Amino acid sequence: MKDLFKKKPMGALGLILLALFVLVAILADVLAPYPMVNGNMTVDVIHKLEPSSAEHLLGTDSLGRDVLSYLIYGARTSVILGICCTILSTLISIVIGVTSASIGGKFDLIIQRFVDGWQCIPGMLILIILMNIMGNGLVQLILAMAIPAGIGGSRMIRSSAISVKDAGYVKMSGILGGNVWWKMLKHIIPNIMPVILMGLAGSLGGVIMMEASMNFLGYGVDPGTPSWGYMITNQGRSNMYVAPWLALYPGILISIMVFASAMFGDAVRDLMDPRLKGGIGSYNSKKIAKIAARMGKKQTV
Amino acid sequence: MKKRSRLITVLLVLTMLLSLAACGGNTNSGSDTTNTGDSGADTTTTDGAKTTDATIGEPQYGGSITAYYQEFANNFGPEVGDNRSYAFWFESLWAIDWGLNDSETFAFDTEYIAAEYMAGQIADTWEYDADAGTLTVTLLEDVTFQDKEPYNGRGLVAEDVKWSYDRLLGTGSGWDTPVSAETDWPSVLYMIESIETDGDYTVIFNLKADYNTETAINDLIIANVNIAGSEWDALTDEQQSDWKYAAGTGPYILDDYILDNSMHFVKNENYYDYDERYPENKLPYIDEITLQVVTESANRLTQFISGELDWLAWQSVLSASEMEQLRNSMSADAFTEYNYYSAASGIAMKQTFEPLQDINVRKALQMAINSEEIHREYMGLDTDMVFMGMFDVSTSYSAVDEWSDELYDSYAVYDPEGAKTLLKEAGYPDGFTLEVVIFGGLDADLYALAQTYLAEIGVTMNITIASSPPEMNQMGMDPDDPHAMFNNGGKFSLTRALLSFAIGATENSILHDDTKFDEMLTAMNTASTMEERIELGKEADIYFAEQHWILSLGAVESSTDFISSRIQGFNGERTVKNWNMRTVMARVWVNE
Amino acid sequence: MGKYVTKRILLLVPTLLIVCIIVFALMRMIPGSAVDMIVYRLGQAGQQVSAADVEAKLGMDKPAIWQFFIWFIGIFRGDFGTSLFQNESVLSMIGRQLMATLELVILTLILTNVISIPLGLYCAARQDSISDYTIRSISIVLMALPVFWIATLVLIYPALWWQYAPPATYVSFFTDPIQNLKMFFVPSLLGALSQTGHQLRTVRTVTLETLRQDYIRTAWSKGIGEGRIMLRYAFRNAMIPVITVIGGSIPGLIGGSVILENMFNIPGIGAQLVNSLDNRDYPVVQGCVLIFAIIVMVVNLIVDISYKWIDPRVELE
Repeated sequence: MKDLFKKKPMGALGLILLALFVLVAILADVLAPYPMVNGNMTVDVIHKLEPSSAEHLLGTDSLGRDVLSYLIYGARTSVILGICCTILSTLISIVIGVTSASIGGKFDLIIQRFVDGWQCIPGMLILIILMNIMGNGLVQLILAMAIPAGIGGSRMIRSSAISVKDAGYVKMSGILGGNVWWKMLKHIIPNIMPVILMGLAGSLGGVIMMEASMNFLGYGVDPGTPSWGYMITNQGRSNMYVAPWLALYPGILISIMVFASAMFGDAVRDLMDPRLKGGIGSYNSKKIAKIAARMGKKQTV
Repeated sequence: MKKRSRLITVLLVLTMLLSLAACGGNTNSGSDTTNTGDSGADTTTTDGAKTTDATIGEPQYGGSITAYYQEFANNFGPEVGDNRSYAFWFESLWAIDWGLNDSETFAFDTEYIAAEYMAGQIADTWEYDADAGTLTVTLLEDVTFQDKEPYNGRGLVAEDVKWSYDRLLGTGSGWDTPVSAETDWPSVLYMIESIETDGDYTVIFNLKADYNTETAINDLIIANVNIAGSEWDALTDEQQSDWKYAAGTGPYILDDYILDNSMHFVKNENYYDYDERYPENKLPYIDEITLQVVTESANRLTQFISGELDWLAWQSVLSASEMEQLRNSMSADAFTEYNYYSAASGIAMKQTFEPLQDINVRKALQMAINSEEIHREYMGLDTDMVFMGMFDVSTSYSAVDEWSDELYDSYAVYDPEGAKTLLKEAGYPDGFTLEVVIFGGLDADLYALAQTYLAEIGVTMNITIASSPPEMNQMGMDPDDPHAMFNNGGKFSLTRALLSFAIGATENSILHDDTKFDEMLTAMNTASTMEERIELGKEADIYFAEQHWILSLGAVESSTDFISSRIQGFNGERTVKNWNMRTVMARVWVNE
Repeated sequence: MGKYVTKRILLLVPTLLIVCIIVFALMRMIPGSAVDMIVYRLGQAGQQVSAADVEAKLGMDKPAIWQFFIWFIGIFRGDFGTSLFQNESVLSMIGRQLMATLELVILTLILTNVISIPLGLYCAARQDSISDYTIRSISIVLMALPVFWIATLVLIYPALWWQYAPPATYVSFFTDPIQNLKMFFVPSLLGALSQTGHQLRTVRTVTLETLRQDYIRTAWSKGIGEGRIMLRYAFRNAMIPVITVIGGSIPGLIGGSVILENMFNIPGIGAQLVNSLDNRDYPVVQGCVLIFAIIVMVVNLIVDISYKWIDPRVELE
């Protein structure tokens, strides 16, 4: 963790932004200047499409809702979406990966072929088909995003599971009696936990982006649920000329979040990926000189 | 290594060349220098023109235009109705009389036009013989088919007319059942018993005994039946779906077609008709017409501003702010705007849902809607509020003058407290929950707004968004579907509904469980004179409004068409609708 | 080499089978109400059918397995089924639109790689320097901006400032290349920009890994200059995983094409897919998804084969 702040300041920034984001989402009701009443945001049509003012710091949308409050509640929707998706997809990955690895043999082969085949179908297409079948809504969106991600991620879990299996822990436990599957799980989870956390942070941006794209094509959450994607596509685009901020603010927020999660994900990977450890990595003279200076000019390289 | 760097250089150069090719040389054939930015104060917008005092200028031949069109289908047969108004290659026996330059005449908001506004196209003269129960039509003798497969330029004869009608009704010419079509032709042509020919240029329509009336003749004349020939029957299915066989007698020939993208027409050099206003001028004037599908509204705006599109009408959808932007970016004389009213948004209340069966509940819901706020603040209109069933005066079929103040107030007044009281009296002190299905392409915000109004009186409205209008209609029309209310497309035209109920009605629709209304419609349908029909129509109109079967959300919307000033020949008339499109297209010209 | 290629192609068949099963299964998840919807819509379009007719057409009346095999075998004969709404076979509909989508994807690919590979290499060479951070940040920003938003801006402002709009009429590349490129240039550029964001970072990571290999250190200690190390050793060896990345970007590009085709009026498969989904024209949807999957599989095949060609040591897994 210290490494993060010292060596990868951008990654640290990403983490802070993400944490801030989650905090805002949790405290939405408290922070929003115009909180929800009975699950609906207050509309005030007389003051629609107004630019920033004292009462509405970021202006109002086409129904007179306060943009700042809407964005805050939208953050909550995105966080729920991101967290649920990641948890659900991880669960699916674990179930598929561990079962496949522990049973092994023909079963494993078939499952792997299935996962292969699944990867051949572009993700966006699966998403819109699933949404078309299930209809619009937050729950449906979570399911639609989690299932493909889960199947795709099962590969990694499976290889983790196989290495655990080979390492013999499970065999030993098996000798002492007990459920093989459960034992595997117990050993795998600690191994993959960092990966999961990384995945959570890194994928949040992707989830938000996907949700916005879904809204563009007409699939997504229902109109009552505040969401950034909904604001851009439904209000931002049609009112682009008289109220450009309706597309600008959510667009900027989405970009910031994707940026933060990408930076954080990058940083964590740079730090933790064993293949990136060791060696100098680049061979430019400036860097060499710096390293040499640090080492007190005792060695070169 | 050298190879690789060379490769990279080549690719970079290629990219540069591509960018030069793309950016350079986009000749602007449309608008003049434009006003950029949003200094709205400087530009004056063209008034919503029912009449302009623009002089037409003299007609010119030549030029090409590009018009926006919403959607094409892979169907080129003559059974296509007004829905496929892009079928410029076809013509009918009658068409809108372009000689009537009175702008009021063309202000049709309904499909209920009168035969007196029609002139003969392929038909030369026609006569109604009430005793014999026939309509005898004499055809023009110089009408020829386009010089294209499958007709290859031959002359048109009475047999062709007979074939065209027989095919739609299953009354002969090798057709014993009606051809499958989007339009329900047997309903539209309900009055025809059979068709005969007498020589090469006379057609006789025999009317059914029940429908030997003036009103039936009116309906026959205004039905746009495309005339083609029996060569069509000899084509294979594949050929019928191929644009190379789409031909008729019309002023424009389809000479290219990219599905989901564009249709390209060229002038029919052998066209027989002359301009009513300039009788020496043979039609059409314009050399080429391209109909272009543009899926994205921002793109439509761009195309119009940059001059690629000349005609943005026919249910084009530009949002209010896009229209603002258009007016701000183009000089006022670069285009003309046509505003016209279409009916308001509303939610139709299914009578299969219990609370809605009580008229007081329906009234209460209406009282909870703040129509004034929607009209003035949300839609930004400063005109008088007009509601469902009331139309612009110019149609002359509305009952607007006959609505009592009480009736008007029952729609216009905003009284949530009164609404709550009514609900309580009706037995719903705590309100109830309603499911509504709307089509996502419409103004979803308006329904979110309605949601909050209803929430105030304790009624919770849950909104489901259907992915297409047919899906929405299907959910709404299904008595077993839980959605109690549905929005019927946001453009619910009462007179259109009356017309469809009258002509194609089945039993009570779930929309209104009322035999009295059905009787009124039947009476309207079987009226023997037009005046009687209009009177009965007005009565039905008022009754419909009194029943509050539709929850009106705000007042009448206006639609706007934008047409580039390159295109001349309008003389201040209204813009085009489905049924007069081909007539219009043949009579306008390009003024470069 | 030949044996490798043959083995690889043979492996396609089981994968194709699996893909078909998945696509088929997805389509079978159609809720019953959708059948009613189709009946209704067909009625509106002038074809009076019953629910049983629709089910027969969709193959829902026969046992799924039987219907699946009929469809699967049909694919090899080139029969992908017929559209429910248009009088056309799915294959001919797709064939018409394939050109447009392929062109979009290929142009985007070219532009992406032209930008991302050199820059990615550069960033790896200058890891953690200011230029590295700047370029990476810019690329992440590019990746983060929603494509349709940028597309709207790109559509509007050039029209306002310079009266420029990309043409909306589709013309095939072979009929009129200049006009065609005018239409495709802007969408490909947009797609490339957002793809560059991803790809640049991956190229960078992969190159970094390569640079840590022993043979690189050896080259350095031998006194070979940095430029040559990068271009001769690092680049060539990093290219293998980079090719994988390029291959892996295809599904993403296809997804992106759905949005870009819609915005820029390109009559391609992506646009067709969305339309058909809205219409519930399931046979067409099935065909479109299958075609896309086949494209991805073919690309993977090419990637694998080029692996073997670049590095003969690679063995089939």
